[in-house]
Amino acid sequence: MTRSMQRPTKILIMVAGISLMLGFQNCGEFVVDPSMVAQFASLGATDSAGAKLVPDTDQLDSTCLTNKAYDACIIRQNPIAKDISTLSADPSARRVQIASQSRYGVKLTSLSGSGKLENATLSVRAVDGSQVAAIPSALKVGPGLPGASGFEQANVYYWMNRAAEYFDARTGGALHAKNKGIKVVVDDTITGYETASNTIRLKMTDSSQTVAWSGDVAVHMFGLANLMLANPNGWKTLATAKHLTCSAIDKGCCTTLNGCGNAIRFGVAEYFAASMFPDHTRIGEAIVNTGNPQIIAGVARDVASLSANTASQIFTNSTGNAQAMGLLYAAIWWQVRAAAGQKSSEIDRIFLEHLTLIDGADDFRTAIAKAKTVDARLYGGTHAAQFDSQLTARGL
Amino acid sequence: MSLISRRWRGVSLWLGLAALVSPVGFNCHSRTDQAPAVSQQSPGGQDSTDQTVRAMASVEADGAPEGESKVRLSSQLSGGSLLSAKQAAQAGHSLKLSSSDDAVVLKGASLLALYDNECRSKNQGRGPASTGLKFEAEELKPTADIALSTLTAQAEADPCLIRVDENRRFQLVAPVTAVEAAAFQAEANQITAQATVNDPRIAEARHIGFSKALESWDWFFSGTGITTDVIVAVIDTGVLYTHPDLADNAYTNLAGKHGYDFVNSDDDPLDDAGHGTHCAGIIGARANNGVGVSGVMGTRVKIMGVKVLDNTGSGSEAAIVNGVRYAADQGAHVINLSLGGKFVSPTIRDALVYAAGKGLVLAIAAGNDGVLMDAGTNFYAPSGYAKDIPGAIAVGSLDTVNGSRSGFSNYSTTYVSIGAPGSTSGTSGVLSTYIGNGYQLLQGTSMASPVVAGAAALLVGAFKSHGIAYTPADVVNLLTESARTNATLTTFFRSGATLDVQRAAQLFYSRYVMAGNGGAEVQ
Repeated sequence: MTRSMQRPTKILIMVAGISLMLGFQNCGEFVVDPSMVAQFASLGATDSAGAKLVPDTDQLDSTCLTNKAYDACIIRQNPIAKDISTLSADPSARRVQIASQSRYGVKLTSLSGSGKLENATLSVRAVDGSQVAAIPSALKVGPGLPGASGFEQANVYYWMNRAAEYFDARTGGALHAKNKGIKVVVDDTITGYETASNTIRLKMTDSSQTVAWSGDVAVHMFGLANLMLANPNGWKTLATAKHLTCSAIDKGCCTTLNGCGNAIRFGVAEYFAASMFPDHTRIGEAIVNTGNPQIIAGVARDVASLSANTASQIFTNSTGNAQAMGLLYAAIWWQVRAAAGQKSSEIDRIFLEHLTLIDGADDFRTAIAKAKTVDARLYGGTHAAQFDSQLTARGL
Repeated sequence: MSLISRRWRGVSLWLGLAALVSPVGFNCHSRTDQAPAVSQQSPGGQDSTDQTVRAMASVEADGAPEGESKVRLSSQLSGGSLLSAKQAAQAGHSLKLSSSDDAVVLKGASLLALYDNECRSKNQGRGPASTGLKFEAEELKPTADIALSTLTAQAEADPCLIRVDENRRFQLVAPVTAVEAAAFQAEANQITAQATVNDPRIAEARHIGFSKALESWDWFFSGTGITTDVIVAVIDTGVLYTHPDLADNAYTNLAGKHGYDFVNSDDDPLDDAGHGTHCAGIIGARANNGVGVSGVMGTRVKIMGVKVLDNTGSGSEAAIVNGVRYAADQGAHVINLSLGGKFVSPTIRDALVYAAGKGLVLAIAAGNDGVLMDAGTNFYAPSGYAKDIPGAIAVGSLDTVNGSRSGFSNYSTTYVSIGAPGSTSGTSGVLSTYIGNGYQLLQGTSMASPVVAGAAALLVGAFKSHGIAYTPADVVNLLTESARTNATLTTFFRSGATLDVQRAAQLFYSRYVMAGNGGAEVQ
């Protein structure tokens, strides 16, 4: 590890001003539970930033590339999703545009010391197995460079590790992916989580789409991995009666408005992503998505905006599309989390622990019922009424 | 159906080899007894007991079920070579018949005898078959007229004879037209080629774009993709395995051979007609070699040439039976059969069952008569058998311009499971490799079937590379379940299915490999 990565440099920049200039906003409306800070130390972080949504070391900075305070300069959130902005259809021009927005200066934490972007939880690499050196000169490079993926590896490592630190700290070490050695490929040709090899694959092609720089997608996939690792056997099969194969996706649709296992999977992952970007829960899959906001099968991909939608509405609009239905599952949790206010970290812990209980046979009601058992065990059922309220409001 | 065929259909006869070849004077034309030229061990490191191919115990593998006819000599016997007793009498035939149900097999009639070579080697002192086949069909021609009853009685003693059948002549599913590729060049240049390969004429290979084959490679050749070779047997007129666009994807066995020639009974399946080479290129022309076109599976594929049709595109039933069994025994994973005829052929059916039982996927051209297939006069073999064999799929032809059924394509929602690109309106066909190291535009269900064979090969490769046990029926199900539904085709092909290789990949990955949407974009 280089000296620059070890040194806890703090450079204070007026965040509001930077946000105005570059169109990003900083986040952090959820209050950190002080009792969780001590947990964070076990991850090897250098300060208490773990339980903070945005560590003090990380900020938008137009001088990022030359500022030695940062290990890498990355994209904070998919600009297509966040700002409804437009990127060029020309790959070369698009790379320039993405590079111009890569000014989120960050410190990389929890590195194992191997000199690569990895630790016991994550190991980031290119599809050919190569791993970029964890030094600023290798990481502060442009996106989409042929034969190189330093930019993408830095983006992915930062966001997944950030999510790991954040969730683990907020929940008292309940993160399921912790120390599970997830391999993350940043320049694959498809995006998804491969169970057998415990590998997250992120797509990167010159021709149209690249998602490896998109923090929201990276965290979404990390959330999916967490679910699968929480109960590996529970997801080997999805209840046949609750699913249909649609659009050439196996069990890609739910049969009823009550939801299905595949929808729960998507919703769990989306909740992770939304949690890291609570000011903008509109998630960007890739630059090819269109719409304002992004749409999945007729449903807005923005869990905060789905505060009042009923299951019937979403089921009808999406014809049961499991991803769209999953948005409903995430939205239910999002509203419970918001209602918890100062105790939102309790909801996150219930959320993580219910992942060990749910499986491919569940629907929304049975999954929430399992969450309530966790709530009863941990918090004496403090949040049960909110769960019930959400189910009622959604017509479930 | 004539009285004669009704009477004789269903008669089960066990014919003895000795009776056939000596006392009654038959000639054997189709086999040689040379030293084995082909190792029985699967070549190229392929294990014929592949653990990823699940056994299909319920499928009949060899011979016919007990009680079912083993011999079918009908009035359709080629050239009217079978006379009923009444016909023989009317013709003044001197041969003595045992009863009014007896018949006369005329001199020179072409018969097919399917033997158990292991039995013959063990019990009859014959050397191992040059083809390495356990069961081998031979063409037999009587040198003199013979009573069917005599033939039957003398044959019953031969325990090594499995079946006697007519030896029909099959044809390649003839391309409707053949057009020089250059004539299509101007229009093709206006098509935007996929950027994913550097093969200069890929845009002219319209079947590739139409079937979304290149798009499927995002899945099949992703970081989690195909890492093992898949052998596809092209049972046809042979393959020009030295073609610059095929050589790198040519199958080679341990003896250095690229397949087998059942027409000339040797181990060189070189194409002398062009049709087989065209099919081979559709399946597996080398991708990204800067030459010509790409096949549906442009890499990690090995094309096995199995020549069963001669340079006129005609071949015997015996050769086809042997070709299918050879491909299965030599470790092929997929078979393409762009050939057929309006026949009932239980022996070919059994060969298909045998191959499917060994885990091979069978893509079969529906035929180019433009008719509604049925169980009667429009029964078409071998495609007519596909619907009853798990792992076999009959393929109709679509036009790459508008996705409609090619006018020449046979059709049936019962018999034809899927449509695939096999023609291009106004230009006659799809571009693929051809003899003379060239390229040719051909159209027909002959061209549609190898598109499906290539797609099946991709799926087989994915199954194998991920170590997932599969049956050939799993592969066919993926192809049909993922097919696009075209409302204008619902009266022609089952569910109006149109092959979409990208969707097949997506379905495979969502079903077997990836959590969630299987790597598909969220849209």
